[in-house]
Amino acid sequence: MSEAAPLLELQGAAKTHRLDGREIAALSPVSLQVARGEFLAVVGPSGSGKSTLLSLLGCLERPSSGRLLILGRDVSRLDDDQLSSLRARAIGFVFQSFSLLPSRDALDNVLLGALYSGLPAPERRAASLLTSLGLGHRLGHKPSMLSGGERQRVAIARALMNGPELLLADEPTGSLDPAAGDAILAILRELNRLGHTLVVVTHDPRVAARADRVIEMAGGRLARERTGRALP
Amino acid sequence: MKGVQDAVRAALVDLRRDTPRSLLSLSGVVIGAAALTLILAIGGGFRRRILAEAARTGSLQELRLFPERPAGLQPGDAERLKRLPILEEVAPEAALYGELVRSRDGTARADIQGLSGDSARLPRILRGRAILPQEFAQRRQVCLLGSSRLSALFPDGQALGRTLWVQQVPWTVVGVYAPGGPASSSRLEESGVLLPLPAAARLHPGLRTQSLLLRVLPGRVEEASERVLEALSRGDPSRRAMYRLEDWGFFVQERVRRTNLLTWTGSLIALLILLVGEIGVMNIVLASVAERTREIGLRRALGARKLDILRQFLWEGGLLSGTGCALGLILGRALAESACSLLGLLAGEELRPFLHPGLAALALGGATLLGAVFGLYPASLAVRLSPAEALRAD
Repeated sequence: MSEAAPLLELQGAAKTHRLDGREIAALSPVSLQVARGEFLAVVGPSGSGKSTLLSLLGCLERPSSGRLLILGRDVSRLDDDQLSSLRARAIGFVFQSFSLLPSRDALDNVLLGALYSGLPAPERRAASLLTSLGLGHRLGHKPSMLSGGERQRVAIARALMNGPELLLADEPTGSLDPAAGDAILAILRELNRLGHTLVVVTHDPRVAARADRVIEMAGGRLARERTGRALP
Repeated sequence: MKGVQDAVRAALVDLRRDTPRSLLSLSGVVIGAAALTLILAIGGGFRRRILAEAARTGSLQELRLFPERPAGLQPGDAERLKRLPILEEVAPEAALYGELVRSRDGTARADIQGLSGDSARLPRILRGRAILPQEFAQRRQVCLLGSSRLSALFPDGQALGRTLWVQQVPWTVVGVYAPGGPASSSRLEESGVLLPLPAAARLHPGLRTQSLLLRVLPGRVEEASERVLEALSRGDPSRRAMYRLEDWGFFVQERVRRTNLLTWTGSLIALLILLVGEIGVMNIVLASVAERTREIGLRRALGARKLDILRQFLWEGGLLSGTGCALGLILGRALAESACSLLGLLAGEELRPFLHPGLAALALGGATLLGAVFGLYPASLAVRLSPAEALRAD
């Protein structure tokens, strides 16, 4: 666990799914490093393996072969409970469909983020996170009473509950109109500026344009990589 | 604790999501629990009635002494026992079975039982009055007539002040008493005529003392049996074989045991219904797992372990089943109330349902546990997928 080690490192990590007895490659062996504090965008057509890549990085599944190192430590051999605890402590997820529980209000949805990490006094933190994201007046609103952009902000607050170093977002602006999408992007960039490492899977060229680095996936492999921001 | 709270809320959401369907799926548990409550409450009511009756008549504290030889009891036996401090009362009992009884208007076969003047135990008088102490002392030929023999002997129902003949000896009816006899423990439950023992000596063959009813100080029946036999044997152990003691509390407890056995047998059947009902709970949890696959994926992404997810759905099954059981308890209690009124009406006796609160709590806890057990299979499906797979589900 040296400071110099990248936050995330995939070493020849591949994922195959078994379907009707046949092996289907979702991801061919990929090697990739994500530095601490980096904003990485992953682009590519549907079925190109971007979501699988994100699942591997988020420890939502284990690579079929190859390794995932977090801060130089091999986590691909951790058992399910250890991976759960790692997700609870260190990784925040944001999804295209927000994934809020419709029966619970904004505050309770954010509190769900602390349910499995044992965070002390989560109510205060949840309220202050929502307030800082401009939803201080919406704490008691059910998701159905919130706009798409507001829902995604609730989801971001939930992802931030445990103060994770790594934020993973799967098409965070995919369900939003351009204005709302821009607002979410601004929040994500601000979080990145505050030190959160950010990996975003996206179709949205505007999101990719603001990343430190963009990797392009095609057919389950890493097709292209470019660094530097194309737009100011 | 937070996890439990969260599971409770999730379960409530599931119940509300499609209330009619949920209630339909829960109906098996409700009916099973209602049946269980019904049977336990009726059984409990019977048990209570037996014990209350025994307490009222004092039969839990009674011993009956019978002679084991043709000569019968010895003249000094009763006096000897009356000196024992452990006995509250020593009452001679005498009976003639199936005696022909006549009145001017009819005849009937009836069991004749003798009453001693000092007996604390008296029949329940329906009409007229009891036999007075001076009537015992003056050997008056008065009697009490059991209501079950009333219509055969006095078709017009007017018995008070009229005359009965037992073995050609006339007796004036001063009271009519209820069936059940002077005591529920009496073998003359339907006894027909009660005569004062002093006057009954005129009968031939006479109404002889055949047994002694011994009332024992509370809770000391076993000790008293030993004392009684000791007193009667007068230092000669071989005399013990000349007497037989019957413990009437034992018969009461036997009745309670029989009632319990029937109650438990019925409960077993109700439990079977409850078990079938739990399949409905399993069904709800199964649907819930299927509908919430994405939520499971989300929770796993937020750091839930498999055990957390498992626990959530086990709680859901348990809570659903517990809710169904609570509804069943309320329903069953109401049903027991009506059933007992009906049974009481049919039996001509008052019967009140009784469900011990501890038993109700046990049923509630048991059903909750059972729901969790039946939630095991659906819950295991919930953790079968990897978090990534669960998140990909539609």
